[in-house]
Amino acid sequence: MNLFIKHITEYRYEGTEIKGYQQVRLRPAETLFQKIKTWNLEIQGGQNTLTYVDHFGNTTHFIELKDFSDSVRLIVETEIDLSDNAGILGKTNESMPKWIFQNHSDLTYSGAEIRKLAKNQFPKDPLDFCHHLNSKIKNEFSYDKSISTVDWTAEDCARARAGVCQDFSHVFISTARWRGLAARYVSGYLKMDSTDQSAMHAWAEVFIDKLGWVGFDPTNGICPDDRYVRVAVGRDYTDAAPCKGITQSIDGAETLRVQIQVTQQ
Amino acid sequence: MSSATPTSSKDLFDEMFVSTGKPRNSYRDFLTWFEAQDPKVFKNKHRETSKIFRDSGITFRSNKSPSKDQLIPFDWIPRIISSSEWRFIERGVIQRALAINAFIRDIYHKQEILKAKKIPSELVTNNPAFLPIMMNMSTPSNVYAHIIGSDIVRTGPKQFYILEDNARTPSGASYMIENRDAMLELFPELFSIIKVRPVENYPDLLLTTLKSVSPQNDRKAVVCVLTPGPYNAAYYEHAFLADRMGVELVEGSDLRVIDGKVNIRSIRGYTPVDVIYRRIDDGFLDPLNFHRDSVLGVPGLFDVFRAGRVTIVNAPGTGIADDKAMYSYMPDIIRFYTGDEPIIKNVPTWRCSDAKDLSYVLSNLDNLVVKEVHGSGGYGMLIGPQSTKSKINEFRKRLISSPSRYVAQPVLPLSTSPIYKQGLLSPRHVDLRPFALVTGNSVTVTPGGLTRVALKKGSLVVNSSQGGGTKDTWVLEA
Amino acid sequence: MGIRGLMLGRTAEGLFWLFRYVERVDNLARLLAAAQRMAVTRLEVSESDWASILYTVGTIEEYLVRYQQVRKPDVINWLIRDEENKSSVRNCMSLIQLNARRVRTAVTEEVWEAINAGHISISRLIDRKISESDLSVVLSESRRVIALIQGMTNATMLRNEIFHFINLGAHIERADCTLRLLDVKYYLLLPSFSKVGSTFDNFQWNTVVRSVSSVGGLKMAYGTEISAAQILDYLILSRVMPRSVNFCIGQVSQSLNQLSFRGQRQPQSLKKSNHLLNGYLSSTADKIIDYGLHEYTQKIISLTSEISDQISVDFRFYE
Repeated sequence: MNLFIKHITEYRYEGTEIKGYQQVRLRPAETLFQKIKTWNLEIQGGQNTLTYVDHFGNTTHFIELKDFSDSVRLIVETEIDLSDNAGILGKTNESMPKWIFQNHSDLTYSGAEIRKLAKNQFPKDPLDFCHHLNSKIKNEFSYDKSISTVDWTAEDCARARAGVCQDFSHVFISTARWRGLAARYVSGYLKMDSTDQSAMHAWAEVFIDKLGWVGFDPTNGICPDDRYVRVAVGRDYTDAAPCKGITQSIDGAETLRVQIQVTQQ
Repeated sequence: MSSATPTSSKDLFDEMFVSTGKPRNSYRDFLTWFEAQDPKVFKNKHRETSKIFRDSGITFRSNKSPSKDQLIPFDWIPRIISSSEWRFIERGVIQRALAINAFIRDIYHKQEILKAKKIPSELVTNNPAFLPIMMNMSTPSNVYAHIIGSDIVRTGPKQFYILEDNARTPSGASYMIENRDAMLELFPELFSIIKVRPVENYPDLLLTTLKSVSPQNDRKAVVCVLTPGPYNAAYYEHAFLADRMGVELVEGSDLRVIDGKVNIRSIRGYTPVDVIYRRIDDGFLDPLNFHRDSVLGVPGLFDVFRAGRVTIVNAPGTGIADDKAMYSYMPDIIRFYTGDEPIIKNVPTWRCSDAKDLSYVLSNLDNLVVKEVHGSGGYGMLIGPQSTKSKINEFRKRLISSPSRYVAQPVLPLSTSPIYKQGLLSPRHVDLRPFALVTGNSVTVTPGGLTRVALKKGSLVVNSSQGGGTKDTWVLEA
Repeated sequence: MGIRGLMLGRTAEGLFWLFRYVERVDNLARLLAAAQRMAVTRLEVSESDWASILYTVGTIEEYLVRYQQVRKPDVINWLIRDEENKSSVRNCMSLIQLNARRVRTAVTEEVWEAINAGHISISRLIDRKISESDLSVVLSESRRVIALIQGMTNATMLRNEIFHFINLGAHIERADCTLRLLDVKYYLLLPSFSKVGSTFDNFQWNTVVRSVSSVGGLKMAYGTEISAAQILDYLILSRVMPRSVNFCIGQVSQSLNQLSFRGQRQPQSLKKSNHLLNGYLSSTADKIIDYGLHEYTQKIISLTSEISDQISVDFRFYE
């Protein structure tokens, strides 16, 4: 599948003395199953002054906000070719040792709720375990934008049995790690029926012996296919977030607006 | 707390005297001079010493009285090391510095040592000093710990041990230099009688080391010293070294990332900086990448570092090499990366995370020194033979509840070196911290280093924050 | 200083404010000494004299919140010892010490010692409540300490960038202090206040002048028959009296001139100080009286404050 994605992120700041920096992780990694045809980042209200590959292998654009501007706008346009491999990625992004993905991160520590969830999974085989978990979350958790916040943990979501794709992915990852598997967070895009979307998509990948990294999308209960664009990976959302920034001397609020259009070409 | 030494004085190695009371070779000339002086002169010198240090402002602030500037007591009897003794120490320290750097590089790349199962992986995977953000980070000349202070103790004529490695922000070099300056001022004549290798060039060597790892690779590299500020315990040293190197002393608020470089805010504008000698802990360096509330750091500093446009000395994440549990595996680490046996041995160490070791430690607490793996400065430590029964029992409880936090070592009969007390030479336990500077091509160890002395008779605790003092350390020219 | 020719914005800020606080302490001591002198040489003691000091230094409202009534011992305590008063002698001395630590390597040993020793001496004196009899000791010691700091600075500091930031801070503060005094006491100089055509013989004004400078200086300049216009001339327009507003702003322009980077645009702050010198400060006493003294002093206070803020921007004190 050939996709064209236009992704606009806009931060508006009340108060005037804005100094700030953003780390933007919006350039998809190239794999055997996705190839970038074109990619462009346009910035209004800031400048991209550094580009590097971070510790997880994500291409990172470092942006310096223009002094005193009251907003910054990032416009990313991606043309990408995707092929389906039933969610099996194989061995990629091996820059990080597996154990980093077996350790818990702040957002994915497993407490009572995750353990409850994990104890219900009976398949011993890791791959079966993951498929079961994937379905279980899809069936038993409800999608609810109003309930979660950006700093919600896997425990919070498991307790509420509701949330958004970011939370479901955290629950999946936390449970898989509790089971002893290496699991990582994937931030990306999903081609859906409607072109316009207000957020990126999130899913998980688990390292299965002999197969390598295998993707699972607990929000939809399936494995990624050629509608999924992998953008960034990490232990959890904070590592793979599309924009991670710091701003100094904001008097008032910071508002974020995201517009994404994913069209098939 | 009893003041008895762990073994009788006769069994202790004294740096100055052999057991018959005669001076060792390296001290002969000094003692000849010493005995020829009028003791009244020494009394005056003592007063002069305090004035020299107070005037120069060489102070520190302890955790106990954080608002008070205190002098670290200086004893003017030098600790003298012969050139052959030094050659041995130097070789050992160099080997250690190279192994430490190879280890750090490996941990942040392929982790071969873990794959080869030479050290338990939990030591890295559960280590709070391990920084995932440093993975696959290469540095100029592949040096990570450019400045290393390895503490050395001695128990016999040829028996030296490395007590601890300091690969994060080792301190004390300023005292090493100030002590020498003081001796030169107090007893200039001594230095014409005895040929001592200089240490005053340490700042020059440090500056050369710092410039050598500039990302620009040119001689015009701009260097600065990054300090948390005047309320930090070691602020004096930060200011001293910046001053002696002729570079700017800055705080986080003086720095800003502009156009992908770290810049210093001067009255004329912003000037890019190439190398930052930072004396701020990892977690406080950059609120964008580490603790978000840190006001000491510079947002975006690590991004510039990752992009290779500034060098941070010592690099973040070097702490994996210097906790006390990793210490116990240093001999394995040295063997793995150099193929050689360690030149200077480790102190035998029992790891309380190991059940067998733990049971040994619990049954021998009154004869052991027990330390926290991630502790420093002599705090959280038990010195068995010098503790009360109740203290030992209290420590036993702590050990049983979290054994992996501790390691234990035998109480070493540290060598003694005399201090000048009320007209007499009176022995006190000492250790030695030489400073190693690592560049891509070589390791330079400043001859001597900081000798720390436990001023209380019989005490083994040399830390300045707990009543320790320092001495000038002399390495004799061949 | 580290890199040759590179002074941190923060260092310039430290030097500037260090010497603003030095002047501030001196000014407080002068005001208090003048009021004290008035109190002991007059038959009736008026609390309004002590209140006027509070107006002059601009802390009347905070004082009233704390003490409700204007009484001499409370005013003295507020101005000298009270930690709630941001500009008390005690707080100023602490800020002087703090700033000195931060710019330690920029000042000479003599200046450092003078500040250090001064801080210790004054802290000791004001540790306990100050009685009537203690007051003159405290005041004279404060003035001695400040005089030593100023003296050591003048005698030992190289006339480089460091010195010029010191000079800026000192003279901005000095101008500000003179202006505030005039601002509070201006009514004494109104034509309606004194008898038309007669010699200006006002005990109050004598005291005001004392708090700014010596009466001897005034007499030297104008003789014994002094008019309101001459006092204005002395305090505002004189180019030779070291505490006159014109002299102080002249010093500010001189130092800003020295700090200007050759080949670069004139700093905004220099433009502003020259504008003030060539404009309002090029006036005459009569014109000022016509303009309205109170309005005039208010205007200059605000312009001086603008210059101070502009300096912190031009030389990157904060960003």
